[in-house]
Amino acid sequence: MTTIWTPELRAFRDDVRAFCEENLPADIRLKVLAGVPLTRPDHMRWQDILAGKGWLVGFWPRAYGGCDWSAAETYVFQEETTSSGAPWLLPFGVNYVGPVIYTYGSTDQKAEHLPGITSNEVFWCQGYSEPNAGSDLAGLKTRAVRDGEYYIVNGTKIWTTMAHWADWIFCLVRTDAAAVPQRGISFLLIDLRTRGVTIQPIKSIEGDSHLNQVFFEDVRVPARNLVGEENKGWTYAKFLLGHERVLSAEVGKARRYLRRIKRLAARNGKNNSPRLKDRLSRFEVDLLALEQTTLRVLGAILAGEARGHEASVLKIRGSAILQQISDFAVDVLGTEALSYDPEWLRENAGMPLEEIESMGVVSEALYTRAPTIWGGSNEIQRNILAKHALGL
Amino acid sequence: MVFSLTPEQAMLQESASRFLGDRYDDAARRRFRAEDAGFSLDIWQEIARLGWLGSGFSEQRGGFGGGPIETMILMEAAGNALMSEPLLGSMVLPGSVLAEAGSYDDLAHLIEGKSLFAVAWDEPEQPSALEPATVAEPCGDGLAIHGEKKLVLGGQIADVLLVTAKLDGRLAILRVQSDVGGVDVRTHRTLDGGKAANVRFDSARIDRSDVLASGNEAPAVVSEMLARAIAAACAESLGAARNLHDRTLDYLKLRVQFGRRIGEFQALQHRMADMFIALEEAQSLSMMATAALEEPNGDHRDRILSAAKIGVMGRAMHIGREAIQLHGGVGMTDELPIGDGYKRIKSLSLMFGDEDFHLDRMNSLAV
Repeated sequence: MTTIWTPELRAFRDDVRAFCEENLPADIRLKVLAGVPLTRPDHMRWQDILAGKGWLVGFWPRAYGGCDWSAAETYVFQEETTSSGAPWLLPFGVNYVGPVIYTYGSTDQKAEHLPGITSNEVFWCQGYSEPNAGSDLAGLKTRAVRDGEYYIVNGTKIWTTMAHWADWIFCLVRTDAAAVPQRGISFLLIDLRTRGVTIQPIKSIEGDSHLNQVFFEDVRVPARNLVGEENKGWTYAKFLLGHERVLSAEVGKARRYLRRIKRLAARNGKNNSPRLKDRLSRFEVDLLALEQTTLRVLGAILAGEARGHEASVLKIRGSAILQQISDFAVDVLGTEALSYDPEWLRENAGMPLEEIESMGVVSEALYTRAPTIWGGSNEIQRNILAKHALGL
Repeated sequence: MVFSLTPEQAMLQESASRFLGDRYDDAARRRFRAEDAGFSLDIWQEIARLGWLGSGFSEQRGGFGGGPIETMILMEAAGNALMSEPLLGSMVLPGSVLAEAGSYDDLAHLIEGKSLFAVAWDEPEQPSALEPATVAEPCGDGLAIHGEKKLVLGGQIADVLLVTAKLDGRLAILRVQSDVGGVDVRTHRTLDGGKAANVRFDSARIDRSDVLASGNEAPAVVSEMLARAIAAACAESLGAARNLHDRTLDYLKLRVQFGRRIGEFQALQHRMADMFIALEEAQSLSMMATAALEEPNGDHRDRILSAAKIGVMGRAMHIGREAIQLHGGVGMTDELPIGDGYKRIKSLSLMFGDEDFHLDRMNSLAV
């Protein structure tokens, strides 16, 4: 059996760990550990630090400002940063649209858009889902009609994470209403400051507003913002979804949640409960299964033998375990969890950990209902496995 | 997903699966089980000639230079074929004891298939395998053994029993010919369709030179044996689970109801997808257990092995339950091997510490 753990990879892991210890701002780390929702400046400050080190887009090719990280290095980077209490790296520019642009975009598009991502100056969001096109994404109706050197865009996107903080949006739009659903879709980059764009925040169950609905009314988008070929957007979207899911196991984050449960249990005098110990041990078993499977997938990717459906396995299990652990943390709080006020939490986010942690735990548990839905719901992932892994 | 083997290991895997493919099918298994031993002694000789029995031992110990990975390969293949020959009871357990205790002549006999060995260690009433109630007392120049052992795997046919007992208040491992006076071997059928034995020792006499391990060495030998047994049981269980997974998938593609193949129904597709995930995770955990055997004995290794045992068995049992359910009525018939796989997995899940045992161990070793 082989291992991904070469001496070089271990050294890289130690580098990332040491870098986080030295450079992750204490106030941001505290918020992350407490589960308090982060602000735009929180995210941007950490990402600026990473950009300064050249690690924000580490897995990108050197030609576009990256470090050419292997899948293993990318994994180690994510696990170590998450485990240290660093914020979730916003994926919209770095993981999603960036790779689409450097893979399928024109020379002009690369020059115009990639530097803003590597330097962390341009904040992107993703315009995929629509009110009537969620899991059935091919049913999307937002239209882009060619008018000279422009596309005129009309329609709406929903569940657009962080659109209210974003500068640009990459959208799937329908450019051929007559073609079969997947064929008439194009991939369009839209400046959110363009006239006719309206962004309406949607409050979600934890009481925060990271989701939005974005409306487009006769929005004039320069035709040069079309990525690749017209009506081929589905290809680029599928490519992007592959990138999105590879790193969705989040073992490091789950381990961090488990450490917090132990701390909370000790505080509440529950740490000797045999039932609690059983739950923690069972979570540990599930995490080892997930971690070892992730390492096998990485091994397959490095060997060029991955079949593609492996990402669905990691997405289904990673999201489910994260959900179970974050939900269990609320149970450990007991009725302490009932004292919950998201507005108070936002206003007092800078207070000591003990003061805000219980609300943070609740906020996080509510927010964590989302991972089984986003990025292709877990039901869609099972459809993918049935079709591509099992031939059903 | 990949799983890299050395060329020699790949060859072993290939040869094991070819041999089992050629020689083993449902009818053969039934025939072998009906034999007195509960398996085929001819097949045992053949796998000895193929080098299976020595594949997990280093050359210094008389083996063919392999280790835990070779054992894993064979156990997984045996599990996949629902093989009735007692690789666990007559190869893994006694092989580990003989190798660790330095009994290389006996180990050579085991490897060549000249003698059959079994380890009599289990006393279900005792809280720990290191604290048997069986005792060896001085008797003339030698020792006399008193006690009773349950579920001696391969004990129904063993020439030599390796027995754990207390000697001067400390754990010892004793070599006992199964045909000497005072040894009462009672063969019984087992849940998985095979055979095992309960063995009573009533003043069974041995020489002092038959003490294979004692003092500080004996607990280490027994702990190592159980560690290897857990990894081997995980691999075998994974193999059996793969068999049930594959058969169920085939069945979903064949069986027609309501005018279409039942594999077209999303409810069943999603259950099959979950079986696939369970199988992938069981594979990962089985490999983790095997890799842990290369680590020094200690709390960390015990914790990893316990996690693997809980995780593999839980996932394999899930696959077993679903395989029966998705087959419907025919899944309940003795004619189909689904039940055989299910019963084998259930047996393995109870052996070498059930889920409760390993949860307790994980809890007590929590970091």
